[in-house]
Amino acid sequence: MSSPCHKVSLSPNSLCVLRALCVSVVSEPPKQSTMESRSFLRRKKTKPSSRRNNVTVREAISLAPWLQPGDQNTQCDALNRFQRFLFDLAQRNRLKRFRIQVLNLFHRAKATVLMRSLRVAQAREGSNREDFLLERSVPVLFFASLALCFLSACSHQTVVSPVTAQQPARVAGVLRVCADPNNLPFSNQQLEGFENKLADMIASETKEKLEYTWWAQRRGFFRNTLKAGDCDVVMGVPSGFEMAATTKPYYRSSYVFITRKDRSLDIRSLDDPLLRKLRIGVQMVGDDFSNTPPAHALSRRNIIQNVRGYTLYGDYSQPNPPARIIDAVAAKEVDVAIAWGPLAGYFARKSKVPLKVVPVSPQVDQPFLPFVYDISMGVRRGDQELKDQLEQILDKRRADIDRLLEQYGVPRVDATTVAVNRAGN
Amino acid sequence: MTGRNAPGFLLLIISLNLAFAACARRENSQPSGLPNRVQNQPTGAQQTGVETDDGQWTMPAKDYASTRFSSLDQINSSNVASLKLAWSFSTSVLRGHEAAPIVANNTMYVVTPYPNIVYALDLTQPGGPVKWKYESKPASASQGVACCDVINRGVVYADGKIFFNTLDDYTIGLDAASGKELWKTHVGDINKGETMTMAPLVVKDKVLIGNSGGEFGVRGWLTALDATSGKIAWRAYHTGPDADVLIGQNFHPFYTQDKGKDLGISSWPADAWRIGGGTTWGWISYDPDQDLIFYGTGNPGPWNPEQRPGDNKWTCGIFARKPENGEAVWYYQFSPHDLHDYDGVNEQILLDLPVNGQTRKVLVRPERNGYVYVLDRTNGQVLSANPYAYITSSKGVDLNSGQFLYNETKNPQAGKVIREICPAAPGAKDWQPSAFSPRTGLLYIPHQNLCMDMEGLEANYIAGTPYVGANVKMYAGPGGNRGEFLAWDPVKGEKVWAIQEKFPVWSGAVATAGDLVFYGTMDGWFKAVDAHSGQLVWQFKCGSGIIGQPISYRGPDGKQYVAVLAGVGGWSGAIVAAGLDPRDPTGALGFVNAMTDLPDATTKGGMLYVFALP
Repeated sequence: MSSPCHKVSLSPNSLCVLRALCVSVVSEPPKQSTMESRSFLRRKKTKPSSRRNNVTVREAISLAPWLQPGDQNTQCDALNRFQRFLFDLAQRNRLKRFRIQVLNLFHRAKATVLMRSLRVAQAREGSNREDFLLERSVPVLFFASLALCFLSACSHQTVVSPVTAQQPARVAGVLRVCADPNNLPFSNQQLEGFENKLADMIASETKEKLEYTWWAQRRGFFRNTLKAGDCDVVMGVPSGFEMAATTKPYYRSSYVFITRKDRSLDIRSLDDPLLRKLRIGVQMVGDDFSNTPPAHALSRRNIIQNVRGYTLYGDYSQPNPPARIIDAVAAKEVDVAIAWGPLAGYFARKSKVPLKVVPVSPQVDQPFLPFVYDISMGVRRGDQELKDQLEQILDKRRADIDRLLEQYGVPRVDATTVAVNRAGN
Repeated sequence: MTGRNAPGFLLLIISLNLAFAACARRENSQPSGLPNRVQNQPTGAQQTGVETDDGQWTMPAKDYASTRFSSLDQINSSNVASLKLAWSFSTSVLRGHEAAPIVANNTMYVVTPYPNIVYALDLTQPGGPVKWKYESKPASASQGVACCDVINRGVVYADGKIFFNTLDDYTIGLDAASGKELWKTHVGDINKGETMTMAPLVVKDKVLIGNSGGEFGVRGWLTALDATSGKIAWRAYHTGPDADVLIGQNFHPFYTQDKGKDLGISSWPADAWRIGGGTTWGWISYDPDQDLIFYGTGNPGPWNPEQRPGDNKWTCGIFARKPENGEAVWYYQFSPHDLHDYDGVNEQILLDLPVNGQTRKVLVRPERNGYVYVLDRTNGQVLSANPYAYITSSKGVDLNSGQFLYNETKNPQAGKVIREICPAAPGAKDWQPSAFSPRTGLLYIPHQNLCMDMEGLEANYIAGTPYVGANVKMYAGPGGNRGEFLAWDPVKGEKVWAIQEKFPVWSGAVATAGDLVFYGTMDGWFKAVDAHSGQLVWQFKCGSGIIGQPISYRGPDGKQYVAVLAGVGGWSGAIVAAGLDPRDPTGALGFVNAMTDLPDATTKGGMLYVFALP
């Protein structure tokens, strides 16, 4: 278990977590590993045991090759490249399970923080506190490196205490779902959203009665529903979301460009020079220091004056308030909108004016701004039983779920298209 | 710095309406001669504009100058040790109680946080039994829209009526005697993110109100309603064209950066002003001599700074307006192009202050950005701006240009780690109002000592849309105390004494002619300190943390009472009131991190406490 690891030496002003961090990747590929050696990868190989189904390759990866002393942007850049490296590694070797060990941390408290920040489930087997089990490693790593990137300075880290056993109880025989009553294509009170259908599917598998707690999915949603114990599962949350325990992802989508087909605009990249001229619609969250990825990406490119903001909240007295931005494209209020894929895909299909929906490239903008997100189901932290149950159902009904998402026009990206798109940049 | 050579605070005179000024002067000359105060005629028909200090407390700020000074002096430092609980009253609501109890005609009026129940308590009867109760029944959906707990800052009494706002954007006029609803006007839309939390101010026949919700893309405004009919008389927006902002011929700001046509459009990227924030959820003062109201505007929204280059007029600043028609007279911007959520909505205390040997009509404002501003209230000139808290986010205020000097190394930037931004987003002082005593010449400022880090990004999710949010964590500033209660000399522009408190001091303050100052702490201690020395002379442990506004009044029995609402909550107290998970340090916009031990120190529950000497 104790893989050797570089002592990474950085300048004094470099960031302490990174200085202390070493990641060991223990991969369990489905078939014989065909890992090629790489000069910057220090490898300690265990002999494959032929009696086992899983062949385990242990690798100790130092972050050193990707980390240069320097400013924040340089370091985030480096982590971005590190993430892509892991991405490629996983793809090339068709890895499905990673175990990551974080070694040489200053102390355990930091490890706990880091673990949470990695947004990765603790490994149950092995039971070393520093072990994280990554299933479907790639998407999670996406967030892992994201978190790392910004975890990278050391003071004032709050120690997150371990989850205690105090949990609101579930109600026997009832699947209680927390959902927004007015937000298609996800959910509404008329049960028309794909998350409503998904909830039906889950309830039929668990043979439970389905009940909803309705609450607008805004600030306070998780606090007032899931955490308050009024319901037990949220059908869609970003994987690794802080306020819930998340299942493995069941789809991955991307922010997209939406244009009218009759405009014949072919915008694929945030760096398209056309974006300096067109009227662009983006959504805003009104979270003081943060906003939606397109809003940040455009302002970083100094594209500001031609951007029109639509609040994600919208006017809640209207049906599906976030959809106003799609209407704005159809009505020529804006030439192009950049919005989250499921919303755009669904309303583009329903639009009377033919609309074109194209995934945003790059998928990760600099310094580290993802436009692609994995979506999971969320349960209360500690509700392992329900999480396991949901994951089994997600596996079992994989094909039905894919069909459902297809019906609702949810644009999805998988690892392959990611690679293709990246190559196309 | 201004007035440093001046003879001192004895020259201070509260600039109030004539009647009250007369009272104050009399007290100054006879500090102990209070018992035989003139018993005023029955007060029911009085307008607040000509109210004398009759021992009532008809508006949260006590008077138009917003002094929160009571001229009652029965309770003083020699007898305060025997101050006892006279009676108490449970509001039956568990959220944060920020309101001031209002006293008029031997009746006390209390409004609760959502669901905004108004109680009238009969002070002529032992124990203050309920005279009437009015349930405004706001839409439950408004809870999900409100950004920072579902508080209400109080009712106001004027002319036999009670006026207050509900969380779901109604302003309601009640008959003060019966509780009968006289009118109910719908002034905003919760579906667009607008809520209302401020206490109205009544000037002449106008009820002045403002909206909250800058984070949600609300366009901020101040509105005047006719006190008799409840009809909207005028509305002044805080972004957009001059016509909407009620800027006309008589608008004469002091500084060049505030002059020009339609700055509410041109200081924003195209169209961003339409959803630009600048809401009004704090305090309004009124100067009857000049016939001007003064009030501040909130932060720009919902864009973060890099997406709204420009000064973002007229957010984070202060307006002087005519109450009749809302016409703007001057404006000054405390934090142009706000970077740190430094709303400009704090209270302004109207004083006549010696400045360089001259008595100037000023307003004094302990601002969220950490400076006590002294402005000439006739024209908006900044006479001084001295720090009263630990500040890293700015370097000061240029008194020639009026410009706020940001410290660029602390400017938040997406994707960048910025540490030790002080004051943190709630500012050095949030809504909690100060008090001023003309007897000591000191301003008593309850405030917080918090810094913040913006570190890392974390996945977030709103309305089905994932995004990465800045991870804001707040923590105690230098000294390790999160709160402070300080006395400030507005003439010298410096701190006189300060009491460090463990938690942010989120309650208001009241100063009395007994030379006592009262305030409450978030762990539930209601305290009296000596107004001169700051020495703690009395304290009482309330059932829940105190974030309300204490008052003092004379009861029908002629005795002086001190009253306060306990009931922890508000932005800082959300960890208790809303049961936030202390393991999530970014809850309540990062405030939870600074408050993880609050649940150990107090529990929720709204309760009115009334104290008197035996």
